[in-house]
Amino acid sequence: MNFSNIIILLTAFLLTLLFIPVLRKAAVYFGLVDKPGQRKIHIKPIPLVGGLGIYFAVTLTLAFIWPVHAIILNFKNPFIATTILLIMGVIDDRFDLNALLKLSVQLLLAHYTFMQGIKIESLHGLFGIFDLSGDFQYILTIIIIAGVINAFNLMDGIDGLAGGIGITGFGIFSYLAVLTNQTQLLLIFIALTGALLAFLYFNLSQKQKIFMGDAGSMMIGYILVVSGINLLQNAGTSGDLSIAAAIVVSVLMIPVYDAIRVFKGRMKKGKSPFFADKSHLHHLLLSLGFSHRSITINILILMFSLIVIGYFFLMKNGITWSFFVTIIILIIATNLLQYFQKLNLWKSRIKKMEIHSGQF
Amino acid sequence: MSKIKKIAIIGTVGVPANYGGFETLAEQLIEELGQHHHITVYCSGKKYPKKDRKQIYKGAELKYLPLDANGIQSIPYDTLSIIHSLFYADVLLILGVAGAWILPFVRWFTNKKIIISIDGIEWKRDKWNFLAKWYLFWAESLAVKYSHIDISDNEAIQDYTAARYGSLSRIIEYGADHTMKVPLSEQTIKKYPFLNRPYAFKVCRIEPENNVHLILEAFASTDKMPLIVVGNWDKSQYGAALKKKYSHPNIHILDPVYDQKKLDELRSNAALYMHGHSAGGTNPSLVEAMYLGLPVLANHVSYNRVTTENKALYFDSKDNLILHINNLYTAKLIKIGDEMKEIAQRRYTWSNIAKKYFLLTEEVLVTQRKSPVWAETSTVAYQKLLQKNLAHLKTN
Repeated sequence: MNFSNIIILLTAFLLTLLFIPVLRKAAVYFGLVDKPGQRKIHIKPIPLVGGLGIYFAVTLTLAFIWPVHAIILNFKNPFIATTILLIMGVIDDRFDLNALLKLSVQLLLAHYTFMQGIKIESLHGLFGIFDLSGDFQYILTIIIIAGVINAFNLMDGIDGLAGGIGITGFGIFSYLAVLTNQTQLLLIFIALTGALLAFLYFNLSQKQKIFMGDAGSMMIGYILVVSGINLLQNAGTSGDLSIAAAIVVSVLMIPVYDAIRVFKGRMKKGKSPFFADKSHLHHLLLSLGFSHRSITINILILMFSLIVIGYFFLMKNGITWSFFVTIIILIIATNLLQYFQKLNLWKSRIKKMEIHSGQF
Repeated sequence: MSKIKKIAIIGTVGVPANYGGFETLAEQLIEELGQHHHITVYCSGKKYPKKDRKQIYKGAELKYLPLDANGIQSIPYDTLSIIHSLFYADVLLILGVAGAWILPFVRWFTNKKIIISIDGIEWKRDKWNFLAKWYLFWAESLAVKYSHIDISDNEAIQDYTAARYGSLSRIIEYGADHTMKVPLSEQTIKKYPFLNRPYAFKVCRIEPENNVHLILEAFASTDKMPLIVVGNWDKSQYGAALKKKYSHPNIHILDPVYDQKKLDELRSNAALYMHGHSAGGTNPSLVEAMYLGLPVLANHVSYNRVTTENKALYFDSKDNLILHINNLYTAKLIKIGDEMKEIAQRRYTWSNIAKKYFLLTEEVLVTQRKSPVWAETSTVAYQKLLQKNLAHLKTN
C-alpha cells in the first residue's frame, strides 16, 4: 500500500460520505425514492442516491486529486458509457422505464464498449479454447456485458448485498491489478472500494438508509465486467493470466448463474423471464428464515469460497477444471436451497390441511 | 396362499419390544406373519446387551447391528439392514424412511419386494435440524416412489401423499389390545391419594408439539378435575421448566412409568383422556386410550379427528379447552368413552392390524406397479373409450 493508494481510498470515501446526505435531501424533493411495494422487503420510502453518490465521488477523486488525476481521460470511453448508464438508471429509478428499453440501451453501450476496443478476446484455455474469432468475440462480449449489468441489478435486493459483492469484486480485482502491473486500473478499483465502503455505511444504517437504485447497481455491474475484461486484455501472457481469468470468472459467477437460473425457471413455467417472482438467491435464503444481515454475509462467504476454490483447482488442474468445480458447487448449493423452499411450501400446505380435516 | 417366503423387518429398535409403537408392531407381526412365512428382524445391538441377546424370538431370527436405530445412526442402521437382507429375503418390510436413499438401487437391480411405512410426516417436525429435515423430505419422496407399497398410519397422511406424489398409500394403524383395564390397588391409592376422585390423564413425550404447556395451563385455571401427566420431564428444558412451574394442587406431574401394568392402572381408571398431539399421524397412545374406553378430549388436528372418527371432543385453543373441561358431565363422558371403545375394538386390535400387514405381504408378492390416484382410464383418449364402448369410464 503506497501513499497515493491511501489518498485515493480516503478521498473517495470521504467525498461519498459528504455527498450522500446532500443527495438524500435532494432525492426526497425530486421523488427519487424507492416506495415500498408488494414484492419489496422494506417499509419506508428510501432515497435511491447510492449510484449518484459513488459516481460523483469517484469521478472527482480520479479527475482532480493529485498526484493521480487524469486517469479518467485515459478511460474516457468506458467513462462516457458509465455516465450514460447512470443517467438512464436515474431516470428508471424515478420514472420506471420499460424493461426492453433498458435492455436496448445496455446492448448499445455494450456495442459501444466493444467498438472502443474493450472486448473478450480469449477464453484463456477454458475448454481448451484460447483465442476467439472476431464474430465470437463480438457476440460473447455483448452478451456478457449486458448480462452482468442485469445480473448485478437483480442481485440488489438486500441491504449490503450489491455493495458487498461490489467491494469484494473490486478488492479482488485490486489484487489482480497488482499482480499484472496495471497501476491505473488499480487506482480505479481503490477509489471504487472507498466509495462503496462509505455507501455501505449509509446502506446498512437505520436512520440514514439509502439504496443504490437501478442506477447504482447497473453502473457497478458495468464497471465490474468491463474492468474485468480490460484487466485480462492487458495482463500480458504470463501464467498470471490464467489466474486472473479464473478469478474474474469466479467473482462474476454468482450474479450471472443466479440470473440464468431464474430466467430459465420463469420460462419453464411459461412466464416471461422478467416476470416478477421471488426466486433469486437472496429470496431463497429469506424464505428459509435468514435475516438480511446473515444472507449478505453468507452470500459473500460463498463468493469468497468460490474464488478460493477456483484458485486452488486452477493451480492444480487448470482453468477448465477450476470452472467446472466452482459452477458445480454453486449449482448444488442453489439446488439445496430450492429444495428447502419446496419443503417449506409443502409444510404450509399441510398445516392448512391439518386444520381443515381432510381437505387440501 | 403363497409358499413360505422370507420377510425381513427393518428399521425398528428390535424385539422383545421395550421401546414403542413400531417395536410392539414388530412383535405382533412376528406372531402373525410368522405363522405363514419366515421372519428376520434387525435389532439395535446398542439396546440389547450381548449377554441378554436372543438369536431366535417367537420363531423369528434376530440380527443385531452395532448401531442406534434412531437419530443420525438410523441411516446406516437401515441401509446396512437393507443390504444384508437382499441376500436372502423376498420381501423387505421397512419401518421409517432413513434408508430410503438406497431403494432406487434395490428396485433397479433386484427383484425384491419393498413395503415401506413412512410413519408420520417426519420431515416437518420441529425436533429436526435443517439438514435432517432436508434429508427426510427427500428420503420420503424416494420411499414412496420406489417402494411397491407404502403405508402411512392415518387417512390424513394418505391425502398428503396423494397430493404430493399422485400415488395411493395404504393405511394401517396400530393395535391397542395389549393394554387392559387394571383396577386401582390400595397401594397405588395410598401413594397417589388424588386417584380417589375423577381425574384427567395424559401420557406422552414432553414436547411442545404435544401441547403439554397448553393443557397444563388450562387445567391449572379450573378446578373441575385434577390432571395427571406422565412423561419424560427431565429430558428437555421445556419439560424441566414446566415441571417446575406447575407444582399446583390441581396438577400431578409424574415421571415416566415403564411398567405396562402400572401405566394401565393409572390410565384405565381415568375419567378423561387428554391428547394434545398436533403431529405424527395416528398416535399409539391415543388408540390405547380409546381401547380402554376412555373419553377423549383431543387437539382438533385432522389426524386426531380421523383416529377418533370425529366422535370425540376437540379443542383448538386454551380457552376452548377450558370451556370443554368446565362443561363436562358424567353422561357425556360415558357416551364418548363407549364410542371410543367401539371404534378401537373395530379398528385397533393387533389381530386386525397384523392381518392387514399379512394381506399386504401377499399382495406385494404379486404386484408390479403402484397404482396412481387418478383413474387409469384418464390416460386413454376419449375416442378409444368410445370405440370400446367404455365411454362411461371417462374421468377428465
